[in-house]
Amino acid sequence: MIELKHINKFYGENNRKIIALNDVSLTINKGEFTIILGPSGSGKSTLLNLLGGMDRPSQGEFRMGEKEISHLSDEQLSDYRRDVVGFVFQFYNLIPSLAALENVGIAQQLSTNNEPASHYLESVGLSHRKNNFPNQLSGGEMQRVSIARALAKAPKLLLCDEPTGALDSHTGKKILFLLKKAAVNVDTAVVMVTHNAEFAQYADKIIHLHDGKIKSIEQNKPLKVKTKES
Amino acid sequence: MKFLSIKLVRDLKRNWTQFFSVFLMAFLSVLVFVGLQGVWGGLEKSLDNFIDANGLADAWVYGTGFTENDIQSIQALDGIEKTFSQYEFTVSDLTNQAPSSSSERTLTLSAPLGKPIAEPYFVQGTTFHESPGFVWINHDYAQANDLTLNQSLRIMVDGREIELTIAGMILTTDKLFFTGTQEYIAPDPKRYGYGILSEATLEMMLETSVLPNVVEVSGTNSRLRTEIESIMGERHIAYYDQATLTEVSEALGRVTQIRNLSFMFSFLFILLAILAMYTTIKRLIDTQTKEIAVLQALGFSNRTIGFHFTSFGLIIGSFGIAAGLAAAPLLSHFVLETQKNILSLPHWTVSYNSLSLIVCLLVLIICMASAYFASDQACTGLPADFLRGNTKGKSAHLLLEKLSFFWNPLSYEAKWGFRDAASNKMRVLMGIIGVAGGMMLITAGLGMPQSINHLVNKAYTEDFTYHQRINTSDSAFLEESFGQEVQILPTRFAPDDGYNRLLMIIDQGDFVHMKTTDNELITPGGIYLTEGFANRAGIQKGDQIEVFPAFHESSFRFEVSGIITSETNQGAYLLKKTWLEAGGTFLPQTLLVDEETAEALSGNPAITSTIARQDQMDNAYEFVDSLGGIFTMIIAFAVLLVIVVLYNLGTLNFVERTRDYTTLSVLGFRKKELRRITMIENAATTMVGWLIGIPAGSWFLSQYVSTFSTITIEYTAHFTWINVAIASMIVWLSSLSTTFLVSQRLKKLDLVSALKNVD
Repeated sequence: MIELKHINKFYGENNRKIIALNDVSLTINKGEFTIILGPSGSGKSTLLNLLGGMDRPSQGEFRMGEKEISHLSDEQLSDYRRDVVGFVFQFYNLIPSLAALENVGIAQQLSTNNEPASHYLESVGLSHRKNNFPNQLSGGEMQRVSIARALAKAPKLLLCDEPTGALDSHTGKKILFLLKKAAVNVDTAVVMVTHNAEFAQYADKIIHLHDGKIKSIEQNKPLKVKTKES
Repeated sequence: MKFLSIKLVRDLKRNWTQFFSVFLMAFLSVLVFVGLQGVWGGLEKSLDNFIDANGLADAWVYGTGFTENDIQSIQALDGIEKTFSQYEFTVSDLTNQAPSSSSERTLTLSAPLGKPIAEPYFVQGTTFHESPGFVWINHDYAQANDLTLNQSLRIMVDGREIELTIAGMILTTDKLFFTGTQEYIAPDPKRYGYGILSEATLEMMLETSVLPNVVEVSGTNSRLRTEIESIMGERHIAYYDQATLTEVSEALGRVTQIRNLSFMFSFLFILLAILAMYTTIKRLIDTQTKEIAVLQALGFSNRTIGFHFTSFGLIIGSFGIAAGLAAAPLLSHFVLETQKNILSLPHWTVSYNSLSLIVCLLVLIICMASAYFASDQACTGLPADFLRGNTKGKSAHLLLEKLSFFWNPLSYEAKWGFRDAASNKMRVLMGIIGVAGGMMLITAGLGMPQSINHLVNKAYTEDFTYHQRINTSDSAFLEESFGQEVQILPTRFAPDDGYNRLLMIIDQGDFVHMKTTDNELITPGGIYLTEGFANRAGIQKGDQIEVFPAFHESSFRFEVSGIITSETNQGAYLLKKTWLEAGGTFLPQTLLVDEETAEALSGNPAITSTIARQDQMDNAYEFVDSLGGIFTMIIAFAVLLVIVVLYNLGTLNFVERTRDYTTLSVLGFRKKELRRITMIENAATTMVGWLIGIPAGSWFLSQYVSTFSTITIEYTAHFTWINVAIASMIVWLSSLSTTFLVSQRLKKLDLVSALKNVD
């Protein structure tokens, strides 16, 4: 479904040139739960930015099906993000002046899918908090709203940047479960960047990045997430 | 503290666009107040100096002839310190004019009979002497007509041409605002001038000795007007004091007018300076919560941090005040120049007083206090509060949401805008006041000339449609000529507003069409009062009024049949029929004629003077044009105000929401959709400010216009929808262009930052 071939990403020029990604090639398939692991500065976020259409590669091919993404204009990239990609941010990035349901609704209105926003909020177990503003929610609840918002666009690709980074381990596992469930139920490809190696055991595919290069790609038989919900 | 100072300078550099609005408001507050204060302070000083040096009477009494007894009786009244009599008359000036010239010049000449209370100021030439054959004319008239010292002045007196030598150029304190005729609203030195001559010259000219017709009085008492009236009886014509003699009251009142303007305009800018400083510092603190936490953690007290933020107010306020003070003299001289066309003074000066200093200090204190209070509220708390991210006061449901029929259909973006506005009340208030203030100023700037033009158009195309007013004292001429006859009598009314006014008695004719507030024409049966007079005197339709006209021993009683919507010549109107039925004698001295009759009568020796309606209109239009610079300046300030306030508001709003916009962009919102969101708050603020600004503009215009009113001319605001449409267009264009400028920042959104920490 998504294919990256010999992707390079440089910042700066000449002797100040920084290589953020170096000859990265990988594929991501529909319904697959992929985890990208690596230390700080390994290129995880750069890779996520490219996959999310927020940045363009310096070299290489980035295809989604038959469509070449790396040559799209700013406006086309905006459409790509709108139609294809869902984002879950480390710090939730909810709009403070919108209540939980409205935060989901504002994203849902971008998609052609007819499910009401409340459906997505219900799917993350927050129907009872629909009228609460972000400052009235806990970190875990905010992240669940963030996931509902991402899912409300019915994305083909769900990108998660350290979604559990600001949460305690118990809540973090709950979030992981939700994301996995999304991958399976909605048939969405989930790509999650994390530095927590423990989560790798739940992934279908584990990509290890180091100094901008793919160190290894492992296919995995994932464990089931054990939470109260499960 | 050294490093806090470094931080201060860098913060100012980094956030200069936001601080610029504070600077500008402080600048405008000081510029407008100090600039205008310099004008009214200077004008007051110039007038005081002139009056102190040359003297000015407290009252002027006009009569058909004052005997020694009359003057002694007046002198003997309570509170009267001194009297001075003179003979005043008008002549036509033919100097430098071709015999066929149609332009008519009129000189009001007076011969002092004794030592005057108000000594003339001699601009050029010799001082006053008693030798016959000399005249001293006013300087503006001489300049406007290229008259020079020792030149012969050819004047017409009672159909005889006489030559006098110009011995000097003068200015007098009782003719500071000299129109020469009550039919002109502004001086026209090319057509009307004044002069003085000796008693010997007067006798030479008139070939007879005459009794004085004007007595000037120094000192006063509260009953003076009626006491003089009873001394003079039917020989009494008019009584004026410093508040009612237009030539003086217009000048003294101008100081008050400009002082009121300085307070009115600068109040608005000072209010916006408070809001701009408060919101800007609030915003700065919101972006620096982590830095505040670090400073607190390092041991800086909240008080020290508070003073650090207060110093933003000190620096920006000081720069704004300094710039305002530097530019104020330019404004002062600019406005003062416009007054030089209207008033006659020997010396003009700009004078600043302690009020300007107080306003400067006030602006500085306001800037510092706004910054201090903004920081004091925001900095209160423990370092950990700030490190966690201070979210207090953010987002809550609004009462408006209970109106589900209104709230539910709103888009998410609109709901977002409403809630943001509710949690940033000061910012929104600033925007609303800025826009409403802009509307007010533009409405006033556009409306003032429109109101004066409307007054002129109404007076000279609707109320009066004659081609020319012909003044004559020849009754045979009046009987032979075709036109509408008018008798004008200086009159005291009871009740009244304390001032003598004119009673206009008009014959049937085609040239007077004034209407009442009930939209009816003047008909026989009662007296009609002009609206300004009726309002000031508290008289209504149906009331009874006692009329004490000049030259009449007895009084007359009339029912007020209507209130006339006329702005000029505040007084009363009667039809000849009503007057005669009441027992009055109709002795007209003015004939209103059409163009054909005016041409036919041109050059008739029975005519003492003429005034063309077109000249009256041109005089008024020139007056409006002379003030055009001030009106344009007001509009320019208004546009600047709207742009700066909305740009600041938009920038603050955008900076606060940058992360949200970035998130939405990452979620797939297109640029034009984001641009629409950026417009919501500015558009909503503009809408509210605009809606408030329309009635506020109408009110402000009426206040502004009324500052120009005198007891003889009642300026009323002419508030047209075209005016509103133009003001609205300027406000909305300013708002939209500002919003567009702010939305350009969307191009610089850094999407990657959305994935980073809240910092």
